Amino acid sequence: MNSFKYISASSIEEALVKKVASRDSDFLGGGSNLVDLMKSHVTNPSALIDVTQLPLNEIKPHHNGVIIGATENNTNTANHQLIRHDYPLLTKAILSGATMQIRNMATNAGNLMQRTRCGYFYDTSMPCNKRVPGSGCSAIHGHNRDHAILGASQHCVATHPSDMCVALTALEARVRIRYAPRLTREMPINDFFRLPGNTPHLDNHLKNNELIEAIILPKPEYAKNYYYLKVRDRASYAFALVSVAVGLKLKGKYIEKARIALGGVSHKPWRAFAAESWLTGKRLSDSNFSQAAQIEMRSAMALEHNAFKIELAKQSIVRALQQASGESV
Amino acid sequence: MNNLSKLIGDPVSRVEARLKVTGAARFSADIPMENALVAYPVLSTIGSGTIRFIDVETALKVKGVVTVLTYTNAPRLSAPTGPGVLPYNLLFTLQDNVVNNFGQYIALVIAETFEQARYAASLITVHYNQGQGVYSFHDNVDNATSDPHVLTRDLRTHILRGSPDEGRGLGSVHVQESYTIPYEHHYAMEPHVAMANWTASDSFVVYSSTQQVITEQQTLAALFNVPAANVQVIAKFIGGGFGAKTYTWGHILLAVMAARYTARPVKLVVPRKHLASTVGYRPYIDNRIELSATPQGTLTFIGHHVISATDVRRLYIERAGEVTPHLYTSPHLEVLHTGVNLNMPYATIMRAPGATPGLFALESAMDELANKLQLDAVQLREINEPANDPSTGLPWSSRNLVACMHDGASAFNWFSRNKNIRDQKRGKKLYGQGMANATYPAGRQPSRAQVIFGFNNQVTVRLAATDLGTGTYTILTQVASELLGIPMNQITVEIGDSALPMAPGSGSSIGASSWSNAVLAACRNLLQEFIRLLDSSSPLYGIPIEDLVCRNGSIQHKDDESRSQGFIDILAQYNNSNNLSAMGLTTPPPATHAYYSYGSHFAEVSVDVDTGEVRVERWVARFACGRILNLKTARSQIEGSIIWGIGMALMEESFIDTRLGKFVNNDFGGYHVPVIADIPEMDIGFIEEYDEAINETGVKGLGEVALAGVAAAIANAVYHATGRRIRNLPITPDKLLGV
Repeated sequence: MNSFKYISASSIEEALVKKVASRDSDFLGGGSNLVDLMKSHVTNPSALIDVTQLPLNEIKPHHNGVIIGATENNTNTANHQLIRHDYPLLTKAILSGATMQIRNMATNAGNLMQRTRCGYFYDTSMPCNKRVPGSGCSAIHGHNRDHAILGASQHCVATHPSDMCVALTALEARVRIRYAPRLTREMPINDFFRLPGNTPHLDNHLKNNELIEAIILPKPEYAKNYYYLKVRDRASYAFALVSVAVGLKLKGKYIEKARIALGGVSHKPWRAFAAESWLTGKRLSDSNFSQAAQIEMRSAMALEHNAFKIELAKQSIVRALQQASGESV
Repeated sequence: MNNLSKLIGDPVSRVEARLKVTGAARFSADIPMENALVAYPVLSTIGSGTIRFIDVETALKVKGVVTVLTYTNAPRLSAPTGPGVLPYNLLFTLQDNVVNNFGQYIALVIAETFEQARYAASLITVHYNQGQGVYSFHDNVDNATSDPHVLTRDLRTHILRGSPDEGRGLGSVHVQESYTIPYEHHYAMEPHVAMANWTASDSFVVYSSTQQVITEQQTLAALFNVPAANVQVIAKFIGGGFGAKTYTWGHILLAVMAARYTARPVKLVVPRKHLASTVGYRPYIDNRIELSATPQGTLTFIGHHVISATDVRRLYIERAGEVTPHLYTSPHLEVLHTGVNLNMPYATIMRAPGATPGLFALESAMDELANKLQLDAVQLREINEPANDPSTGLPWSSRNLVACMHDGASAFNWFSRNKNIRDQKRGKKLYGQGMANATYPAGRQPSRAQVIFGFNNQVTVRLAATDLGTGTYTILTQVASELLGIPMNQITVEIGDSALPMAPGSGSSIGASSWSNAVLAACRNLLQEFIRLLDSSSPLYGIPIEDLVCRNGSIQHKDDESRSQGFIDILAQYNNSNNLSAMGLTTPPPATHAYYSYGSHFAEVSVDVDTGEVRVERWVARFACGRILNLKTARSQIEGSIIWGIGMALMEESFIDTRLGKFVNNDFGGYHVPVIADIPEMDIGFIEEYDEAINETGVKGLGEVALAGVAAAIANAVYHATGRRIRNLPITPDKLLGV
């Protein structure tokens, strides 16, 4: 039997000490992805350190924004009145993901830490650089309809599956990380996630001895003009083919500030910096939206089965901008 | 003798419903078996070649592991022979070192617990000699041949009526297109399971999740070289099968082998991710349709060339052209079935095989023809409505397809819709309406049934039928209740056991018609048995059976209630016993008519102009399927079919990695079936149909007909909405970008 230790951490300090003490250990939140990975022998942790009893489940005001505890579940986060009222983009994104049952189990930090749903990553009989570094990528020349069009490398074309993280990226959330019993650091969520490069086994910059403690949302600016568009193969309970999170700060008919992130297109939630900067100061119009989408997709590269995502992403960016700006329906 | 009184039977809830919703219903994997071991299979990870060496040493050292079976030590199987026995050596498992496809069984770990077995299985390493496999349908489509197939032996692969060239020449409007169906999987909710126990050196029992307890019994007896009577196959409840639980697949053989090898009961539940390659699927199909018609819409030629993917040993091809010769009239017709040999796992029958993929093509092509002719889709079909079966010349036993179309069209407001293409834009959505027809053969198989009358007016109905969740227990309770005049709560139906009287299992929509007629025969014989006991002291003495009816536990003269005697009284008085039983047998006579069920679908869809997402907004469907035994279970079957069809139309697709013949999206995360949010309100109705010619109960079968045509109705509605014709299922957002 592939036995592993189960440790329910009663303090953050204990969790960190145990994490360092056991090689190849993992923190356990809701387990909605990790347990699947263990059953498939994709990951074989020597110990699971359950963090769900840690006092990290608060959602409360923080400076001008809100701080969201790492272990609060996705359902409660989406429905918290501070989030619903000030960050409805986040609510909409979370509620478009998975199912109620999974959202009830899944934690916020776990959502950040979930692995790609690339079928080859889950199949231990196939090479995968993310699972076994250096073994090769089966998807690049295999079946790759669901794979990345932005920021991929010759070593990995996987996508990040989260909806929540796409909204967090558009909202410029920060991730607070405990790296020693009394020391924390913060980093913008866009820096937290990695592109695959030649280290596709690393999804993000969290180190082995570190624990996500909270997600910090800056002051709310997009509670009025926002949209989360998720395009998928069925009406619910499917990962995004392409998703777009948009927050706009408007001055009359003009865009003072735009924040756009895409899901389903890259190894990380894709912050559309080029489109954002092009839109700044521009008038709300379909042609401007379209231009922004074109600019963002200039660097997109298609594989054999996912070329449609480039056009779909463009149309989805335009649509999400229209919806966020109150243009059209 | 009582008759079934209603053409549309009462909507009785499932008699086993409480057992199921309380968890008390024991499915095969739930049966407790003392001292049972657990088995976990290992699958091949190449698509073609031979096994050089399997290293099981590490696995054998895992605590709790009892043994590992491979081709080197597995019990040998006998090649089954005999009339009606399928050459199951094609499904031989662990008998040699040949790998014909990715995901083929190559080893079985047997351990004390599931976790031990699964972990040990992950430690087995296999060394192969790689072969040159052929995996791509598209690259090999030109190599299709009409060589025979095992499971489709009865299929006439080439049907020619008149002359194709003459037919084309008579027409002035033509449609010639290719319509493709992707690889699709059954993925029933209940896992595939086999729990085997050898009770003596030459006899064993298997708790299986099978649609066919009798054929499974016969198959296993042949493979393990024991008398059929020594094999008992039990499947009391089944959580969906859809054809994947019809044939005896490798896991069942493995469980029986493992139980023999270890001399202990062995339980094998096929892991979800193994299903893609081990229990069949619908093969990839290219339907090449040709239609020619006069300007008035009279068909002059129908051509249907089916090119189906198949495996290298040609177990199965899809009979997608099966109903094509029988749906519409045309003086000239050619139907051809061919298969492309690939190193793919065995495909099999799946949910309305043949008609479902075939009618997606034919009914899409009819829509294209109607558009070219500027005829209404319903009108075009009416113009080509045949008076008799155009293929055999036989009269229809009943055919109310036109009534289905008219009734459905009226409920849908079909004729008052906006007929223009791409002309219903509301906000960001384009709306459109489409229709398509459905048909499926209404067959029957020989079936026995036993009816036992017992103490306190308790009646037991026994036959080796199965219930997939479709309502077998319920409809047979209703039939026996009505025929014997005994309340339903005094009737027990025993099915799902090969030790019961021979009956077909669930499949091909033949269950209800076969079983209801067998129960009818048994009830009639039981009544005869009662009459035979009487002497002149009975008020019933001398009354011919035709003039007798059963009411409230008594036999009565149909016109004179005073001439009556209770079942119990008859037994007490004339037989000095409290039970009496009779067997019934029904055997379909040679066909005097053409037997088909029919239906007509009307669909409204919306298509998002930016994202290409399709939603089904509205559904109306009408069916003519002979006598409906139970309105509720019938409606559930129809709804299930339409939901399945919506999945087929919009999302179902198993992708293969053409380098290996490996199904990539082999779980419910990657293989999409509809969720509730994908399904609209449905208006479903039945045409009252009294079919005297088909069989005594007038039941035609409706388990599958409703799935045929669904995908075409949606594709036709998508065309109407957008002006874009999608001929390659499923209709996913990528195919509708830019509409």
